[in-house]
Amino acid sequence: MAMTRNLDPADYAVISQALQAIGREMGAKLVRSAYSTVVREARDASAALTDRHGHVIAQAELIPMQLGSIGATIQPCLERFPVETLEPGDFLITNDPYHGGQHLQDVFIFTPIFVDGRVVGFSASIAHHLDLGGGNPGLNASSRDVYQEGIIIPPSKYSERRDWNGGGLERLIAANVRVPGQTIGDFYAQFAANHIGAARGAQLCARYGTDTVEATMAELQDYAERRVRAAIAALPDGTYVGEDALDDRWGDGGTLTVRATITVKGDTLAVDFKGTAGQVACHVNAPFASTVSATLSCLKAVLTGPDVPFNEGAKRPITVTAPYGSILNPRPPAPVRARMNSAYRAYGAVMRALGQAAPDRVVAQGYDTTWAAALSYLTPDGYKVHLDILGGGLGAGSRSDGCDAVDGPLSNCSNTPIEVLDMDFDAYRATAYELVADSGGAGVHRGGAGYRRAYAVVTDGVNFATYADRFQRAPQGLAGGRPGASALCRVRRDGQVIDAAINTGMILAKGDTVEFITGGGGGHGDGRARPRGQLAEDIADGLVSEAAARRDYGLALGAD
Amino acid sequence: MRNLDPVDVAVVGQSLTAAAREMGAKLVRSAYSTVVREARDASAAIVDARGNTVAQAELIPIQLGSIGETLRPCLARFPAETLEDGDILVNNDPYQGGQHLQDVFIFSPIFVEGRVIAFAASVAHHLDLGGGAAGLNNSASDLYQEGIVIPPSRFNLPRDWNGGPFERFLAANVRVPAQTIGDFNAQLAANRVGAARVAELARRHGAATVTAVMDAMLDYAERRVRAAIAALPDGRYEGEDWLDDDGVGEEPVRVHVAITKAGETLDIDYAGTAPQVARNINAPFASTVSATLSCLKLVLTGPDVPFNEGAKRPITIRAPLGSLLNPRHPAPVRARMEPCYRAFGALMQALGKAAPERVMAAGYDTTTAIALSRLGPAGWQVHLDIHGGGWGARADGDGEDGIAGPLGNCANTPAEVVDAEYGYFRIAEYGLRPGSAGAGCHRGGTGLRRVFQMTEDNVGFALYADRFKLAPRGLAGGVDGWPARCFVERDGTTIPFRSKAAMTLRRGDRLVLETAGGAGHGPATARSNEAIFHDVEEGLVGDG
Repeated sequence: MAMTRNLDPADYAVISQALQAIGREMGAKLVRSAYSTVVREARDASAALTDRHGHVIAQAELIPMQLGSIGATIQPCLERFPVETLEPGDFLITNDPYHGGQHLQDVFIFTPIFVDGRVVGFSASIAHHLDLGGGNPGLNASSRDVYQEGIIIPPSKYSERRDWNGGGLERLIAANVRVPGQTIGDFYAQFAANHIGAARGAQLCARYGTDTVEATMAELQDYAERRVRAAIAALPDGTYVGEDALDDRWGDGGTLTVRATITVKGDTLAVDFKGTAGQVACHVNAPFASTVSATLSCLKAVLTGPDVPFNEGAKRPITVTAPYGSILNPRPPAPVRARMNSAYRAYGAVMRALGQAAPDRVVAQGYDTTWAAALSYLTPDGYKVHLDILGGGLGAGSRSDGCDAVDGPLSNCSNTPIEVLDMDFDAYRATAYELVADSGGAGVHRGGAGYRRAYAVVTDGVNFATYADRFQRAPQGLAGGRPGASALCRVRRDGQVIDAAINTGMILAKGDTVEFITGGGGGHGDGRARPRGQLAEDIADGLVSEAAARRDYGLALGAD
Repeated sequence: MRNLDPVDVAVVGQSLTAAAREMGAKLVRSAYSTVVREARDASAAIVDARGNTVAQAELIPIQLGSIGETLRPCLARFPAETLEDGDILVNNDPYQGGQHLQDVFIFSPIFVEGRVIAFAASVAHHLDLGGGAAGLNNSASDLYQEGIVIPPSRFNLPRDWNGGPFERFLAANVRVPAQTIGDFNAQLAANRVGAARVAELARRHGAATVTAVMDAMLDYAERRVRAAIAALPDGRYEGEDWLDDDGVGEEPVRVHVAITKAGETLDIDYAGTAPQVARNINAPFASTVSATLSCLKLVLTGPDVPFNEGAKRPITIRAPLGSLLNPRHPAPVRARMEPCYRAFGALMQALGKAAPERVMAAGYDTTTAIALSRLGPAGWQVHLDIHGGGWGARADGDGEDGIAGPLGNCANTPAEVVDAEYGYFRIAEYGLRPGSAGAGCHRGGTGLRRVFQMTEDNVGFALYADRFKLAPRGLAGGVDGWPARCFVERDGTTIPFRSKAAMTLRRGDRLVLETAGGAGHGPATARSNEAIFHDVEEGLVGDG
């Protein structure tokens, strides 16, 4: 490989892998030190290492949506608190959607890594905090502005010694969140992750010399840039347009279109979201950092393989623009909690556009939605809050079926195991958790199955708040594949069924049940050409019914 | 006993009081929002180094009566000896000695020769402190939905304010940051002027003398209150009062009090009061204390008895934990004035059994808060209109017309100011409400009528009030006052509101507020002809 610096290739290989390992170790530390199930079990958290300019070098392979924007989130902090002004023990912190952040619950903490009195980089961690105050525990479905969504931490500098560890910032946050034990515990997990990253970074510099490590950091970014440029250059020059849409229910009645125009020229690529719907009153608006992250994640997933690192260099040949005041770049103080779903439609629009330039590299639409369900209640000892993050089936591609029952590609959270749920929460219990037959769209390659999860409420006064999408618009198939199933949410009370909307808040009573049925992925290709052996397995596994096998896959009557 | 020259006590004591008053003037005149600048919903005081209020600006009784309760949790965590120049202590936490969140208390240590001899204290009602709705969140079911909680905290002005992280944090979390930060700065300015005056006094008279005078002022108030208590007959006296409802259901909510007077001491026990409720009409214990002391002071003593911590010493106040007047965290408390007024009313009834000639009939005795807010292209605008109504009549005089209740004492926001500041509504009518006063030998005060006309769509309206159902009750044969009401006139129809309500208003809507009249005292047949003639001439009687 071409190297532009005096780096020994062996050193480069060892150090660059060590940097990646630091990112991963930070991620493991973060997840294992955390208190809340949303970080400890669902792993809704990320970690990374940046150079001294705040450029991401290496990341834990956790949440693409969070990872794709770390560099954008640290910049407003560094503009206000330049790296030369920082001292050991300082940290930078922000969650502000209108200054480079995501939604408020994702709090970014950056710790400067000092070697011989100079900052050589930052260890960065993000965690989704279970409750950050705001108008409702866990999530506020009725938010009309960002102030109702939780506490806002503008890009700030604090000192661990003075402002954390019993200091003013820790006490201020603890006073404003409903589950301070877990929230503060998760903050400490972030600090622990940052400290281990800083320690490993400093060790690496001590062993190989700071100059060599910084040169490796630069080379790693250049490498990613070269690989991405090569991948872009392999696409035909031209302009490609793709669209996707949110359910109409998020807006005032019109279609909420997300439109991506990709312009490929040589080894650069521009994505412009002009023509996308304007921002809406409820909380599905996506801060621009989320839009950028979703776009980069899609491009990376489609154009490159896992051997291409996802760091700042990968972004260099790509520009992303979205009109100010659109749903992908809203004006403050628009609410943004459910931003994943607009971000997913951006992802889908980019995927569609790319499908015209490279049809065999893209996949059909999956459920591609974050469905967040908060179930909270107040006990004499304070609030208990549970946040379920639900996924569904991924879209099938030209080479494989869509994965069954996983979190969407921008999110990558795990589920919360039922055992953990039952141990931690008394007011409800899980009564069902299963894949849904026939929810994956038929195709040569089948779309992934969605799933059904149900809870029975055993105490009055459970506060239920949820946001989802694709109750109306089913995920579409590709190349003749059939759509996946759309999703739905049902509350049953005294024999009555209440179909809950994609954005709902209500108080549940003892005896109520809540049922989440998530969407399946679209299929790829014509189902009648699906190999019969695979179809037989689908049927044996209960993923495709005999009736659907006959109807959608051309299974002959009487066939085994 | 001290070797204090009585002239020094008089001069230094009055200077301390003057310093507190000057702080109040500074606070109001430096403020940005109409709720402080016009309605004067703010207070100031000088507090000694142990956290005892010494002297107060005569502003808002409910804030003043318990300033010490709010400072002492700060001192427990950050003792005075550990404080440095530039430090401030801040607290708005209802569950650690605060009132409702919007009342943010700031305490500045006053250093003389390196030692803290006192604190300058200010409190202002902040127009918007974040939370679940602009200005006022009626549907809040917990404290977190009501705004930002600042637990007893220490900040340092050069580091944490003036561009520092606490100022930036606050500005990021409130909908009207220019006004909120401006009002904070007004509090800091008030504290600075108080600190300067006290430091001057110490330079002139010596710190030891100033400290001794502070103690003497507390002792004096204590002696006067003990004397007033001693003049009452020993015994146990009960009283009760009722809120319309809890904001959700229809059942009235009870406040009950038992006063036990023995010698020079009073024990006030609110056992028998309803349990805390799910919406914001719970009163933090500091507010209960404040309301109690304000009522006792008002009834038992005159304006020549200072309202400082010494006045509390002969009085014990208890309310069951988990009751309306001493709720458990995280119960919402924004509308705490209402249960506080019912505590005031229950006490008044109980005191009436010990000293019938000293008490008042029921007045509107309610804070009516109307928030009108709008999110425009330039961000949020929020207006808070605060109103009272008629006071109850007394054995020796009519109730006051159209004024804030005795625990509140806010001024109205003038119509001119409202019209100048806000483009999405205007004041269409404002006057007294004829006929609303309860008749009697002495009549109650009339209520107010104010009509707001919306000139834009999408105006957020929220209201908390009371006495829409339960009218103020007359005393000694006096007639009840009219209850209050609030409704919207839209396209020829009338949409009535409960006393706790919220709605989005449209251009052309007319929001009508009519507050209650105070009740009368004594039989109407005993009213003098001259007084009756005057009422008729002023247009205060009639159907309205």
